Amino acid sequence: MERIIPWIGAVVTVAGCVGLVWIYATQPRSISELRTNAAVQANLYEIDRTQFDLGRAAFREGQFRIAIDRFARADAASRDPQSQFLIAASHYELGRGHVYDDDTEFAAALAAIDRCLANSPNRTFTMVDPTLNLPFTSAERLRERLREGLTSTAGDLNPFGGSGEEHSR
Amino acid sequence: MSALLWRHIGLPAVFLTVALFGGFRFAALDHALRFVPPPLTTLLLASAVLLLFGRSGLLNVGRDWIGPDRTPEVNLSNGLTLLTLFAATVQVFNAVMPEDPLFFAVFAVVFALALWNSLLATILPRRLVVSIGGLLLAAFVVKYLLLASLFEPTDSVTKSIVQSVLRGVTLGGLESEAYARETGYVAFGCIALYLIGLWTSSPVTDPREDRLAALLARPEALSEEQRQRLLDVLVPRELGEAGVAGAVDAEEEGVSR
Repeated sequence: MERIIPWIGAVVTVAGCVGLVWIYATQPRSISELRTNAAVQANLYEIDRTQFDLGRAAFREGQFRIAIDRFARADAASRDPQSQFLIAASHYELGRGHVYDDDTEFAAALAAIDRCLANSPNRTFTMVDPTLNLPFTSAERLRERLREGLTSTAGDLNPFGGSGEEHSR
Repeated sequence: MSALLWRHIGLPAVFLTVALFGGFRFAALDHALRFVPPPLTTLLLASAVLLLFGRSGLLNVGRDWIGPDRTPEVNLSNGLTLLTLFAATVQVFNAVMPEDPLFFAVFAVVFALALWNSLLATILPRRLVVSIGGLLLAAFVVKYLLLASLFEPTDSVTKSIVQSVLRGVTLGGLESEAYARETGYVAFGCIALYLIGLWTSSPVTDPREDRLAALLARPEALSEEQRQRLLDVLVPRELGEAGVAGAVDAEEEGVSR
């Protein structure tokens, strides 16, 4: 036992030091964020399915602000490609216009779609869900549309100009 | 067995807890958590404190911690405990030092002068713990009671004027994020835990040594007869002054060999 206790102490101390450095590196702002970060680190992270389903229902009803809030709660670590894609699609729906696109919404959508692609295998993502009536199914195409929307061109002033959506509604 | 558990598991756990919560703050606005990394100055102050621990005998690495007469696992565990002691010392300074540039600089200078003064003095290990405790508690009172009450968000017009004047006079030297009062409780807990850790890791000494140190520091407290008797024991008459010098030289020679 006298030989085991120092070994246990050494292992516990090394683990504690690693945990300490990790906490100061990740800078969690709440206990729930700390839990989420730990789950992500341990590969145990899962999105909150209830919040995700509520987000989908809100999206279907055109309640995009509520949908964004639900998807953000479902994916607290912003690591789920599906949730991030739907957040981007919700911001897109809020920002798209015939005369001009809302830059604030499009910038938020672009940030979400970047997170979606960063967390997708091979940096590509496609979502097919006929019940949601999505304007785009491909994350890359949605990103192109958002980039285009954030660039000021003469075509922005054309009220009859096409939106470039994959599935026009 | 319990001493072994404390030395290898309890003590590093105490120091790691201090290291974790030393930089912990609650934001005043939304009570969000903040983990403030230690400034470089605290690393220097902690190094000076460890040097002081070594000089006073509180931390005798060769005698109590790491050496060839110990098994590798004990050396490893003790080495890691010393590492956590350094981390805790860094973070306990982080806990008590203000974050606005002006008061941070003032605290750093005061700490540096106090530690420099202690380095030049002869201090018994446990008295050093008390001295460090006093220094940390004084800094705690200034940061979490005086400065916090002076700069906390207020509805009082007088206080607002005083705050504005101080901010203007110091040219932004007092700008720092406001923290909730709970931060003070955490910092106090950190200081207490740190001192407990230091106290329990200090070597057990004969209580008579404290008494001897007190007598040598204040010989006038003794009567003439007592002083003569003590001198007779410490410096026998037959040695004389030359004899004492010779004896000291011989002793030093023996140590160097």
